[in-house]
Amino acid sequence: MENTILSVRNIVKRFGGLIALNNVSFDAEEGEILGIIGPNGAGKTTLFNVITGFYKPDNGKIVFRDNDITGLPPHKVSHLGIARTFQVSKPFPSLTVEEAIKVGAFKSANQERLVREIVDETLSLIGLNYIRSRHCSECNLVQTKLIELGRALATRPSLLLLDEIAAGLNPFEINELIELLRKINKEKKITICVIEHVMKFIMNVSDRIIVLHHGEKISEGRPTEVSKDPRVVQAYLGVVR
Amino acid sequence: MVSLERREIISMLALSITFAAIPFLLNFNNYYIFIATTITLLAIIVVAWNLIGGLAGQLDLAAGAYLGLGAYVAGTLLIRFELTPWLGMILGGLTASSIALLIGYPTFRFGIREVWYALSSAALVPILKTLFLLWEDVGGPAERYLPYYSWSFYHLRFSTYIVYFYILGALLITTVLINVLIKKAKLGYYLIAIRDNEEAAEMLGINARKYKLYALTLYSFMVGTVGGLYACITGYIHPSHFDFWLSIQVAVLGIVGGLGSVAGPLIITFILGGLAEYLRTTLGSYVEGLHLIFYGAILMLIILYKPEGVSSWIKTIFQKLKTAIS
Repeated sequence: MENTILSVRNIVKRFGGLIALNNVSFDAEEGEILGIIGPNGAGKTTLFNVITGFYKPDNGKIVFRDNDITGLPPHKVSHLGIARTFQVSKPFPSLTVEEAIKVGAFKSANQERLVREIVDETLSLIGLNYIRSRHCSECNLVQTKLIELGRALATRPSLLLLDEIAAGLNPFEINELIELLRKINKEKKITICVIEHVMKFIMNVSDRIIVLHHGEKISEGRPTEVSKDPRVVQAYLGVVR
Repeated sequence: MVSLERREIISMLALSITFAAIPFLLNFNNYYIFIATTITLLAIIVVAWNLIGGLAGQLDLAAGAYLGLGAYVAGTLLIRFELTPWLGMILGGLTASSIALLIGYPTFRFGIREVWYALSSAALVPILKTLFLLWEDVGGPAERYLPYYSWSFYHLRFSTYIVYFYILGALLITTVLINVLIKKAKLGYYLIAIRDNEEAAEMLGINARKYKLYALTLYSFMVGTVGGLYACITGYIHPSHFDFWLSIQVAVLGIVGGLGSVAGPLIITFILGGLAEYLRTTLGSYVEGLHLIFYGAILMLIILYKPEGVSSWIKTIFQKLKTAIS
């Protein structure tokens, strides 16, 4: 397709005898928010790890904007314009909030002034200006997740992969996060792939959803279609007798 | 580009003036100046270690190896070819960083870090020591003496320690300056990010292996350079210059001083270095080894009460001073 930004083809990833991803293929369209769901152990995070180069796939191909990125190391993937957050937060405890964002901003600017501009812009976007000089080690869960999002945004990506960013957030915070992601998607023109377990969040925010189960893609479509798909219901709830 | 703040320029000036004044304060006593010289030498290595150990977070224990390499390169070139140690020092530094690169590349390539990095870097010291012990052409078990001159800048040989002290002082200030500038630049942020979380750093476009190699190369170059000077100060080269105790001391002072801080390790090196010598001359004469017990006890107390290093003390003292003034 013409507007495909990320194309994942026949990805296979094995860990010893366990097949974590079995022939997974999907496309992400430029400008959309793509949700990725599936029960625990379905291979969602493994998929992100394969795309961003933390794992090498045993088979298959990943193309990002006409670049074959299969097996490229994470820092090269980042330079092509993909950013991500992690399921288990990976903060920089000895840096301040501002400095953590700055680490990301260095990638997209080489002048001190431009770096500072990106940092200021990112901090006001994620709404953490009021704690900019606080240490990351003193931040709470929500703030830590927002810093990770900010860090990723400061690299000026065209594709953003979010791994369970809403986990552990209360309903109010989830609503705010949905607003923020929509803003990032519309205003910054960033395509977003989001893994999530919180249904309210994923149904609300996604344009399209793919469902993984035991390492295979079992369904794909609009949120309303996917939630009615008998295979999806079966994967989550078991066989209806 | 990064530039120094006023506060930092003032600190650098204060440091320079203090160094210029030390020989006067020590009444030009050659013994005291010798002690000051060895402590300054140690301080340079500790501050240089901050790049790899403090910022990049790799517990490097190869300082003794790089120092010995620098000493052998500069010393041998002076003994054999009468090459001035000014050049020999630089070549010593380059040799040390080449060896560091040679070992660092596969080490980082295969993801060896943390305690495993510590062990593999520590192994370099005895390996080189044995190698030079067996390599009769340049090393061998006997000391090789540098030519004696009571005052020669070309040969960098002096019968008084004061010149060495000032050269080392200048080197220390340069090393501190480089450290402060790196800490404020992209390289510094990248190294801290790698130390805090290498995977997260990679995902932000940082080639962790490359930046760790930068830190390792710079650090080993600095230690190798100082090694060349060390050969001139001691007046001979010997496999004992590959000193594993130095590696340990540097890492201990770097950690106790506060990882990533420049002022902390610098100050603690002078305090503990001076204290160690004082204890050695006072207690050491009563019971052999007593001074080491006291020294160890002091280290343990610091680690117990300030596990993050004395740099946090320095910070609080400065903040209190600030509030007291305003």
